[in-house]
Amino acid sequence: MASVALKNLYKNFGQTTVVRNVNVEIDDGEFLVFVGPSGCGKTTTLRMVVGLEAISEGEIYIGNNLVNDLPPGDRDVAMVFQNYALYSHMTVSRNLGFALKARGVDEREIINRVQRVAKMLDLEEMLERKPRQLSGGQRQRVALGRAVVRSPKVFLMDEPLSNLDALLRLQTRKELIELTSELKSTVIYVTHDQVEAMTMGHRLAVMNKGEVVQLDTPEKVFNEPANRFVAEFIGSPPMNFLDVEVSEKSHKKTIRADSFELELPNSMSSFSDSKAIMGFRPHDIKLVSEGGLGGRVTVVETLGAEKLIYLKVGNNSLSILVPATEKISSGEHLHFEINKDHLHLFNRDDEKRILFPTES
Amino acid sequence: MTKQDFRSRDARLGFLLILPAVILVILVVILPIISGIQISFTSQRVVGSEYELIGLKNYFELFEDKQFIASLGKSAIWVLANGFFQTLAALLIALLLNQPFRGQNFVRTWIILPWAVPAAVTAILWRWMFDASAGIVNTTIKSMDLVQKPVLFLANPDIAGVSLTFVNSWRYIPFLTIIFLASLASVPEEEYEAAQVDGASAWLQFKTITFPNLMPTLTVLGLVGTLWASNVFDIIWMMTRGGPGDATTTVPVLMYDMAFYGYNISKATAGAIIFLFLLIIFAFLFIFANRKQFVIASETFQDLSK
Amino acid sequence: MKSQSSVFSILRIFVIVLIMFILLAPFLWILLASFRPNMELVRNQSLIPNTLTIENYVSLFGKSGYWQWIINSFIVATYTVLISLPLIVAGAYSVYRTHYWGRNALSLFLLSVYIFPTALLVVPIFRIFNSLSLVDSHLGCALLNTAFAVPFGIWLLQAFLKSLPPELEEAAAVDGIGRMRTLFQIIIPQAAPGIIAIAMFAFIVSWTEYLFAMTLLLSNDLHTLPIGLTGIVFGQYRVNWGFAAAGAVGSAIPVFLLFLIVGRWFIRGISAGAIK
Repeated sequence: MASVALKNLYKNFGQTTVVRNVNVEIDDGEFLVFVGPSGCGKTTTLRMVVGLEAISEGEIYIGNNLVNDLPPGDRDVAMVFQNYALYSHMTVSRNLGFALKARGVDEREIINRVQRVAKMLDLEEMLERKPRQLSGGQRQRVALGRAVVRSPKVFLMDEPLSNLDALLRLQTRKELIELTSELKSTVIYVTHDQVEAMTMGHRLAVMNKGEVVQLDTPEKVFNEPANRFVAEFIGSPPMNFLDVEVSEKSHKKTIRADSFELELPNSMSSFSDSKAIMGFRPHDIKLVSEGGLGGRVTVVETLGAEKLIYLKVGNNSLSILVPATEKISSGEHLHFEINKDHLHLFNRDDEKRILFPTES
Repeated sequence: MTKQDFRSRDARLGFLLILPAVILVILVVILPIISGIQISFTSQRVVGSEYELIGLKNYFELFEDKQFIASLGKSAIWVLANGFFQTLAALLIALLLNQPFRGQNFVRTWIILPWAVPAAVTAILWRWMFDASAGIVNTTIKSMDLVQKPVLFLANPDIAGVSLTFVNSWRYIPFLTIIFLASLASVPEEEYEAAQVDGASAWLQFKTITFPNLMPTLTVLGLVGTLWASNVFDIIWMMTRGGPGDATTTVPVLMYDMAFYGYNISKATAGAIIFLFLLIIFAFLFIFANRKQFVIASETFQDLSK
Repeated sequence: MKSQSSVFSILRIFVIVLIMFILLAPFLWILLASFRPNMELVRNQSLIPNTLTIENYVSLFGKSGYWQWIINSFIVATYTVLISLPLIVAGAYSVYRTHYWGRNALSLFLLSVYIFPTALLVVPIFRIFNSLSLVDSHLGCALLNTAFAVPFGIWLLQAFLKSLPPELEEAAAVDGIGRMRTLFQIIIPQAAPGIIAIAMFAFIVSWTEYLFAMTLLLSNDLHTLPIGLTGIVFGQYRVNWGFAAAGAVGSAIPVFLLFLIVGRWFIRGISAGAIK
């Protein structure tokens, strides 16, 4: 296993820059997830690390080696593709052993390693089958096995779970976490699914429009999103945003929107903007009978233990999560208070998080 | 800093892989054309005989040769009737065969048989079927009282061209049909399903889904099929030898006859060069008019890497 | 395009049957004729034969060079398939799965061979092949057939090659498998149906070829089936139809057998694998 470093990485296709100044250092044994909407440059970044895509500018190190000029096969990395890219004319066992064989590994050694990996991934029964005789989950495990069997320095995974159905995805996700932590692998994982990113990554690199907008642990990304984009993208259901005015009365800051007023806690008073975007997550609220924010319920979605309520507050659409036991129906008027400790403020111009001294 | 990546790194490999085919084509096509141009400037009458350089004399003679001018006209009609008609007919038949029916697999396999047998077999089959005294076609239409006298399918100058076009189409349409069918099979089924859900009529589905998906095939077959038709020689030679009279003497037949039976290979080759020149103009115009469809290797690097 | 009235449906089946009848009935008709004495055929072609005989086949198999022609045709076709398959596979892989400037132009250049008026340029071809000692040689004939099978063959293989995901080569590249090894051990095995179709195409191009064989194969014992057949059938003043029919059947049978065995692979191999 090895560490990986991406330094000032750029990728241009003609005039368009699809990856812009990406700087990420991945520790040995770390599970790092590139997450972002489609077209954000995460897959292109991964393909540059693996060597399938030329690097327009910048440097990539695997371990201590600069790999910019190395062909994919010489980088000692393994990749799991979204569509698995299994060799359909070969049996599972030949699929697993093919790379080793091509590298001239001793026949006995290949059999041993294939057996070990097959056992690890519960593929022993399928070794003589062809990929088309396998279920989606089994194919996914073969694709994974093909990477594991090589014991590479780094695993690269491009949306490896997105072709599985929901239930299987959950299960495979868990297995993948167990496997990679057992192997102490360095993993670079690409997904557009923020839940997958949150549950699997030791750290997340959230990308948007070719740039890494935040690189941090899942907790930090969730609790202290670097900007409005991250706040909206990470967390489900997404965060609510309101444009607010800020005023100051006797060292106390108050934010105001058309329909409400909120006094900020002391910890959040050290900024000078007079306008801001306020953000809060749908579950960071408390229902009240009077006061707070009020609005008319437009849609009620029952999610199981909770209900997601869409409200019209002034001109804004907001959503809140309440226990499913609350009896709420659409058309009703509802009041709630926002938990001030989980309030987020973003600059109106660049949409960046307004930082406070208490935050690191 | 290198700009090399996995896909562009294989440029040399790609070039090496296509090189043998290119060399073969140069050897078999380009060199004979150059050699043909040389011959056409000489007075050589048979292979290996003495000759001298006579410049453009053969060309001037040909331009005043009524038979040659007439053969150009016949070739033009032949190409239009065969190249164009066959492509269109094959497309229609393919559309007819594309939707499932009982025996579809049988049809898909055996429809191609007329294309797969030598032209000599085709010639025997149809000369015999068209035979004036005992041919099945004549006996049938006579017994149905459709005609009084037997139709001279190959001996009547007014009909021979039509008969030959029929036979040549009988031979080539199946092959073109199969290619269209293969191309139709590659149209994603979901596109039709989506259109049906949207209530699109059969015609609208054809116009918006089938036709655009077929366009690349249609243009390549339009070009190649026309060129194939223009160079048809064996079936005409075996069925009518260009006759009766000169009724079915297209350029290839006339030039072949002139070279090997009229003992004037240099003049015949000059005729070939003129014909080639006309075909090149046609191909150039065709490709230019359809240049968007002729991006044969269409996926760009970006498409492949998503 | 599935829902249609039953009238339309019946009409469609009728048209299909009619087309298939026009395309295939002549073969049955010639098969029947080949078992009838020539005298009967000349008089009239009534549907029901009066006499059945194998005399036509006796004279075809016995007197003429039929077996020699069959063998020669097979030799030329085998050469053609063996030479054109690697060229087509390599060329198609190059055009459709590698990336370099000018591959589009090169593929168009290859298709341009069909501009070439074959019947008109046999003289220069003869001269060039003569200087290469390829006249009166099955190999020379096969090289010509190959040159005309390769460009369209490359185009025919595109659907199948394009249907293979690009990740196949990428996965192999990441695993350190060389490009040639990838081509031979991953792409070619997966493209097998396409390659079978291409082999059939090349075989038939060669099997039906007339002009080059006639020009280049001077010796009688090298003649291929189309040449031999044309000679015995159209070389005479009056055509012996019974004999000609037997010759036609004898020339069609090898192709018929080929289609019986691998025929259904043809359309499958030139489509993107969507046909079962």
